[in-house]
Amino acid sequence: VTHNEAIVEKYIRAASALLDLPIRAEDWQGVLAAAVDLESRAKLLMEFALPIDIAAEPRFVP
Amino acid sequence: VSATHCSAVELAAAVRARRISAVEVLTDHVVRIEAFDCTINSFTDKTFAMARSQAAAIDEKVTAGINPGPLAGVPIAVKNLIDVAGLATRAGSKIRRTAAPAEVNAPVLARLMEAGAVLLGTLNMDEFASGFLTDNIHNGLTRNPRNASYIAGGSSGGSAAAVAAGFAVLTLGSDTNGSIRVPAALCGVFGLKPSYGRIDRTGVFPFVDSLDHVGAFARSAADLTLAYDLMQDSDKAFPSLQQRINATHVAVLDGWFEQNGSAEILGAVDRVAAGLGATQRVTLPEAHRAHAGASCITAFEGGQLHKQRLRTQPQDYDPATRRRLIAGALQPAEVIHQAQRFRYWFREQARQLFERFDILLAPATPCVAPFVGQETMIVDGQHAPVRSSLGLYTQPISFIGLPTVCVPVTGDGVLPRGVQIVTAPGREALGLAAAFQLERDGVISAPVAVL
Repeated sequence: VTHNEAIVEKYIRAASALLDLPIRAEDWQGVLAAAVDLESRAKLLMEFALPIDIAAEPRFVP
Repeated sequence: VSATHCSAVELAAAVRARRISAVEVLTDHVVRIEAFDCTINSFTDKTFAMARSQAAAIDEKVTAGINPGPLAGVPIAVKNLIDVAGLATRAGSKIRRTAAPAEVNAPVLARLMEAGAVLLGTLNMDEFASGFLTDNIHNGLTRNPRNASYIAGGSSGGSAAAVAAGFAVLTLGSDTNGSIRVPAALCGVFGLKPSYGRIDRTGVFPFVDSLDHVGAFARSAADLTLAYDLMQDSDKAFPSLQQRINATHVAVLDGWFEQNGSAEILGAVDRVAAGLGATQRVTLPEAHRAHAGASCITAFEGGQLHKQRLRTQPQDYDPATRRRLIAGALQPAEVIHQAQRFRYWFREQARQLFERFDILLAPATPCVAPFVGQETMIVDGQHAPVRSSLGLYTQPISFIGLPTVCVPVTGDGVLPRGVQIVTAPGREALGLAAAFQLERDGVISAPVAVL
């Protein structure tokens, strides 16, 4: 388990409890793998410096 | 020539002219489905009895001198998430098997039926449209009609396979991250993902509200255009189908859109570019982050949609779907906020490209259809899951809702390859005209598969 995976695991356990979305034992490794994958994608977004005036509008229009 | 090998335009003209009856057209298709869908597994519901009544009604109209419409007697089918009156809209799931039957057809389907189409049934898909494989734990795997050892792609795999196999002339599907373009590419048929919001999604079971599109599959650009014109009122592409494409306004997307592409896939893009006379290459910046953003938003919105069911009926989901949805639902809000902000930035990058170019070309998939059972493919030099990697090139495009025609490069003894013809929002007609030109010039084609 990498340091990053350990952090994601901690987060998923806490979020699951906080949001009342239980994870069954047989799903745990699969959920964790999916969460680690999402975290790696999220990193690409979070590290990108967007201009401050760009807002996240609730409804997307192309 | 069997009716199963004709285009919608040809069939409707023949039915209107009484050269063939709608019932005969239907019978030819039903015989082919019954003979071969046991191998392909594209249908989830067959509504043949209803179809016979519809075809008979078309023939009665013709006999009475009434024009049944531009799709007179044309057999169609729809993805399992589009409402069909009298059927439960299952969206490829077990959970919705007990849903109340739809009271009316979804408007997008109703429009085609009003134009004279005959509905054959509903088509297989990944559970809740989550995936690129159409390997459905409840309904089975849909195989590729070009070679049954390969997958059809997904999530609208049944829709692409049914058209490629000659089971239906037109089909409807949905595309959130590539679910029309990926199976169209792998099965070697035309696929249209219109601009986000162009087609009414009423009566279409959602996956990711901010990314879901409804579109169509066909074996010719003209048929696809006809379907597009009938699915909505705000744009009519058929009258401009024969416009000549200005080669100086066409460019091939490089960077992300050529990384990880196999030689045969990149060769197909070059072939389409040459067919349109395009010589320029251009970069859509940060497409890899758009791919990441689409993945995060998809997982989050999909997870939110299913959160309550994941609490009360987790056992009724495909375990793989369930795990992805749970992980998606638990993502931090900060990530989704940033993904939505990035989306606006990325849209602006595309808008700037469309000030210089009318058409952007890109591969639809990194490779031809993977084998049935193949779990990984090589991405960035490493093994990556096929399930999530087939959308590498489609996700950045649908992330910002751009209309795209996926065109089939077939022949040469290899499996089909799909190329995305991407245009600015609202300019579907131009993409369809480019597809028409390429087809007329023999660059692309979608023959009925030999089964």
